[in-house]
Amino acid sequence: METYDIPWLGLAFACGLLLIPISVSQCWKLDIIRETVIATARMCVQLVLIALFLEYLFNLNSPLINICWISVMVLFAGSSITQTCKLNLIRVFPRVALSLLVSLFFILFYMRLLVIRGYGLFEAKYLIVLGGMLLGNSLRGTIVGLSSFYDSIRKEEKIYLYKLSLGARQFEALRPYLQHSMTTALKPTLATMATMGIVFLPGMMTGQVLGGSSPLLAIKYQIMIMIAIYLVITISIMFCIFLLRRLSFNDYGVLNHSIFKGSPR
Amino acid sequence: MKITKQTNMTQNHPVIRFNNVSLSFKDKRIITGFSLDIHKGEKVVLFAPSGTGKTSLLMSALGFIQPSSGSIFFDNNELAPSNIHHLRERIAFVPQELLFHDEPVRDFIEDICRFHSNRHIAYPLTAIQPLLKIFHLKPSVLDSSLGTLSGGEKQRIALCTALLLKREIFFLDEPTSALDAHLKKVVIDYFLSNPEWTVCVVSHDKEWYNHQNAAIIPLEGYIHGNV
Repeated sequence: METYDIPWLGLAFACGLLLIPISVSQCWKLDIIRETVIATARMCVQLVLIALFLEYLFNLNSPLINICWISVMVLFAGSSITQTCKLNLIRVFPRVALSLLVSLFFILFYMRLLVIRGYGLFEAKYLIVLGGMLLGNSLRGTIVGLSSFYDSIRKEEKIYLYKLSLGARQFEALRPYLQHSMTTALKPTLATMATMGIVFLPGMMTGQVLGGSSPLLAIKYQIMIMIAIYLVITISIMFCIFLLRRLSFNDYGVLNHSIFKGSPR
Repeated sequence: MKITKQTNMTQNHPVIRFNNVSLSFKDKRIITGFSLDIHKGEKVVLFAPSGTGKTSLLMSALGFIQPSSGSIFFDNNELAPSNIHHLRERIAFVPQELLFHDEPVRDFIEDICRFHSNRHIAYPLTAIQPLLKIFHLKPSVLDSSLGTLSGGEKQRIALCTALLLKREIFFLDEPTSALDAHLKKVVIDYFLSNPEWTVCVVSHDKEWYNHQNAAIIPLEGYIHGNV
């Protein structure tokens, strides 16, 4: 089965469907017409550019360039996580980027070694495609996990200190916040995994089937990617919090507020 | 105020020594040059108007606030990151602001007793029963959620937890502010009567000052106005 190539006119018809939400927005005075147009235009331009760039990268297939590209993606993801979590960019960003890089390469290496053996580890079709997908999910999970950790510890700082004063080691006093952070970050992925195939067909699998693969082959990739996503979120949050521990707390276990962006202390 | 303890250092080794301690909050000096020796078994009550930094002194001795100058010693060992956990293992702290997770009292106590430092408390729920009785709490309070307790009940749960840990030093920050006159007397008599315990109290309740075993430490000379 060959992949059906959508003609440009067909794609234009697909975009024409946006007239419906735009009309709804106009009628209900939602004031999101401008944002809808800008977001759609941005999506189209960004995807065209990335498609051209990926074509170029796939043809070139240079391990060095592939690694550089994935590193750039990691740096952007690290910066995005740090800023979204309202953390001090200069101090926190390097550690966040390192934790993303380590978790990503651990999984990519493991998958290449034991699961997908058809590609080289640094081959563009493996590293950039799989790496990008994992990184995107890792970004989302790490933002949720880190935000939840720091929000809860800031909100309950006095309870945390009270536990330290009652003899808790730092890890013991932090345990509820670590648990909350991890479960908050992983629950959406768990819910997705639990309902996949019944409530919805996942994007990767759908894309592969439309692209000509058999459903059986498509679900193998889907299972692999979901487990990899679950793992990459777990490892990146754990590693992130571990690397940020020395920055986040002083030698007496007290929360260091200078880690937060714009904090007076 | 009938007893005023000498705040200069004595020659015996004190359990706690504040040595010329100054504290600042957001670049504002709140305590300057505070010195005090507290010996084993002594009961001291820090006295000053509210909002002037008394609590900060207790927090500094727990390592939660770093002095801008001066030092704090426990048994001649200067408070430092290397020994802070060991020192906290010797102290039971009852904070002024009693913030708890909304969980059953039983879970809260079991959680505290599960800390590595507190594993010597073999049967915490059996051990706490007599303490509940002393402070006029019913055993059924263990099944109540902390969020539903009154301020006075929370205060007594915090006091019972502190006692359960069998520490030698007690830091009590306004520990009787939500109690009626009778319960205040019960708590004050209990904490100030054991000769083995070293107790440092911050309180506005006159009953603490009037107790025969309490030594009053006025802080007028060290404070710089409201925090």
